Amino acid sequence: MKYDSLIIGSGPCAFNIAEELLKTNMNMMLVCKDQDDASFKARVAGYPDSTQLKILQDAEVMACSGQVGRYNVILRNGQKTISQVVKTIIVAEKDDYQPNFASYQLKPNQQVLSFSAMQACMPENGDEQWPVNEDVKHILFLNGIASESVAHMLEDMMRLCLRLQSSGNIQTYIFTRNLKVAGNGIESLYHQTKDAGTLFIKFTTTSPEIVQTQTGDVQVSYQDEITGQLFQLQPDLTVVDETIKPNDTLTSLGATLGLKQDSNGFLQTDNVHRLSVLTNRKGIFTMGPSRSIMSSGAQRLEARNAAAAVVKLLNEDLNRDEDNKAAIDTSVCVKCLTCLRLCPYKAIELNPQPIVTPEACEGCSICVAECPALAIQMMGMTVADMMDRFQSEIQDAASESFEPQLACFCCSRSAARAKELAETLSFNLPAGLRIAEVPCAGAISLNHILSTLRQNVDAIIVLTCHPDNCHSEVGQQMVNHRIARIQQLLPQIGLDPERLMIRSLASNMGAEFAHILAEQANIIRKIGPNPIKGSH
Amino acid sequence: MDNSKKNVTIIGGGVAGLTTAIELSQYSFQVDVIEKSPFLGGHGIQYACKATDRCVKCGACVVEEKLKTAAALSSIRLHTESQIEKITQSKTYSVSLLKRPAFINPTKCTNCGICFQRCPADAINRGFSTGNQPLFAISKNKCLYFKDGSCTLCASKCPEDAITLTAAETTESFNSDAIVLATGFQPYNPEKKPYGYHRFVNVITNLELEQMLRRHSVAQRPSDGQAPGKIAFIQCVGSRDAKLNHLWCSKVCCGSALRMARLIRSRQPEIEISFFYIDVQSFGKNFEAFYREAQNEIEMIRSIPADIYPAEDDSLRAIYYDSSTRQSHEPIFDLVILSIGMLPNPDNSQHTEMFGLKSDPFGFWSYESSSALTNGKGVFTVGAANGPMSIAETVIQAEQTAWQVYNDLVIESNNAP
Repeated sequence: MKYDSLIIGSGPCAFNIAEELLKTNMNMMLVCKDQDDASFKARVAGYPDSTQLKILQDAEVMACSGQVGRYNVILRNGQKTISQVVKTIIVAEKDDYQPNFASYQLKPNQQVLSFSAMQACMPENGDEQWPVNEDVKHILFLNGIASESVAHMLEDMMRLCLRLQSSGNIQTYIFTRNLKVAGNGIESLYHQTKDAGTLFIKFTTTSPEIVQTQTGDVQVSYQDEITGQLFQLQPDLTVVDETIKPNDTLTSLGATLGLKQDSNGFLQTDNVHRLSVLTNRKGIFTMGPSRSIMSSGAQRLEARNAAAAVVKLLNEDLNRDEDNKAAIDTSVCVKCLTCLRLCPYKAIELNPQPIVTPEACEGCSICVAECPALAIQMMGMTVADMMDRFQSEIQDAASESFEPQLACFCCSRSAARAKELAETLSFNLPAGLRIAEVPCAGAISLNHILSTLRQNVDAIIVLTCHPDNCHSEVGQQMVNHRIARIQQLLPQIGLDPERLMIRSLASNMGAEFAHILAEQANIIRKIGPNPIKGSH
Repeated sequence: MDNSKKNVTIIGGGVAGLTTAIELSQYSFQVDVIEKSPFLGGHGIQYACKATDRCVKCGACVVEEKLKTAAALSSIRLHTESQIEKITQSKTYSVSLLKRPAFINPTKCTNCGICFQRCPADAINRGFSTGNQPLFAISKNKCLYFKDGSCTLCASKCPEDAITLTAAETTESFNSDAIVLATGFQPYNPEKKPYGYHRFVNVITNLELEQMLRRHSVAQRPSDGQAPGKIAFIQCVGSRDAKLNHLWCSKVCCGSALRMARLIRSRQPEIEISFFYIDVQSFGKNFEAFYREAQNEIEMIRSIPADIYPAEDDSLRAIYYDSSTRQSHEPIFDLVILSIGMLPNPDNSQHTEMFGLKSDPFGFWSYESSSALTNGKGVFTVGAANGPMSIAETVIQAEQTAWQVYNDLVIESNNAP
């Protein structure tokens, strides 16, 4: 049996997406690492095994091969090992809340709790009062003092303070730096909480001095920054905020699935092209706390994004646009595996020769540019194709004065659109400008550059997406390395390195496109015509 | 999946409406997008890219991409300068549109810009993007032809004969299976604040700075076009304001202002920037690092100026109370940027009534409640009309809303016994 989707995760998010996809006629396997946790058990109990949903407990993904539509996943399930083919994969692991005790030099005890522990003590029913012992009169919440907090944690904290204040004999305090109210209803809630008597103390340049005595009591001294007055506070209970970290299984899971992580360790790079649940691999999605820090409400709603992503993908014709896919000529390939290593989309498989999976190929042409044996082709990307594009736009050199001929490589996602915008908004562009649009700047090879220098051009401009905005993640970096290498070599063949310029742009930077081109045209006007032009 | 006989009407052609339209077309729906202004893309299409040495995820390029994609899809019909005349519901919705006269024929116009350059009354507006077709629109309020019939210069100068000043309003009607409200936000008008907006020429809003950076790449003083020596950003103008009963945070302005401030510093490093704020809100996945770096480049002042007075040479004196020294200060700035709040669209109340929607006390629809509508099926809300949100959040919500439409119109009817 081939499942439509494999869902990985033990938390609420994994069950939310299963729930959402159960509405469709898809079938799924849900792989959960947990087995003993009570809330997990309760969740599993809600889903009897059916043909549509199979839940594996005490299970994890050990290996994954194949591609979109036919991922072959090796799973450990208890003592057993299972092999399963699935069309798509959804990573929906829960997040990890780590109390910031150490940042405040506090040790947890009966008077010092993490915020999660405090929430767990509260009765489920919102109307009931906290069964606190009568001695607890002052409760201090530390939020975002040691590191920046997030809006949903403040929101939950204020809701809790409201309940505690309503008991009538508890005074709550929230100590914070930046009060994170960026969320629907949070500013209103802040006013409501303040009106209910919670004291908010904000710190900017100073910090509260927090001391935990031998007996475990907490003593706080602080300065009110507005009046300058000094205060002492001895809370009966101190509640410490938490840092939200990615689940610690994500690193190995990412490596197994070939997914790129962001700098925090979440399984989605911080790249606008991945909105909302996309990864660098087609058919593998990442949602909720597996891709970013988010509130439980936002996590719940993301089940819709993930369900939509799966449904749209399974209805998509993955073989359309077949002309714009790379292909490896096996008779030329020397199996160096450069392509396998570099493909940002992991679209190259070993079978046993390296081959491109067309369904997964995004047509960035990075492999074409990097293949040392020149064994990979993509339509329109040969050196001859590229030179044709420059040739076809050659201007008549009728004018008397020297007008630099500028060959400009533009990424189709950014600079080529910026050029259109510059034209639309009537910016002046140099007369000698010629454009070659490429699917990704990472497609521009050493050969493209060197061959262009021998055309009837005076300078080359390579325009990429901004770092971290490259659809193929590394294309922009790779072409920067290539250009830096060529710039070092240019003086050796008697060329000014300024004849080769690389810049990054976005699709909406029409003005900047015009500025960059004007600047380069001016530089070339000063240094004169390319001495080797037309030497091919 | 063949849903091509099902139609969805989207009211609002900003990033929320356009993204929802693109998503719906991926489920094979036919989509009509109704935009009242002449230009699609909403506020977002006017924003500048704020990348410094790398992308800072402001999302402005996403709006560009969505507009281009939506304009290219044959399953989406885009109606600009259009508004709903009437919507009635029987089994489906029957939608009547009133379309303002198409003075500039989009099929003839080549965007040459001659009308824009020649108009003596500044009555021709230009769009912001290649995706704005036609790129020009005639503003009836300013046009001399509509004032006294004295001028027809644009029509006579147009080389394509694309301008017809006598064009009439048209109407159009169609049936729709669902309505998506993507009416966006209304920027707060800061004229009543003591900052001299519209009185002092060098006081502008963050939206005007976006347009300036998009158009000129750099910060300029409107008074003389020169680079300012010192810029002040004032946050929360019209947001988090109990006196106005605006008890909400506009959520995106800290990110937008700090990104613009850092962009200006990267391009014009000689400019000094002060940032007046109440609390800095988190934005983006890498907020802590971004904020740390921002604090090194920008003077962060936790105070909101009480007043702004004109000073010499069109510069401005801002008065604020510095709590660290417990004194008032009066620094001089060459340019002041007001980060104005996002208000609910004034059209919302009419839709709230027409469709029996729930809204919060301030007039934003609540997305969570709209997705479980009580008034029957077929009306959905999306984007900043549900409360201030970033471009990225809007795109995420648009995907969710399109999924809800698909769920209601297709999945549930398939699952019905």
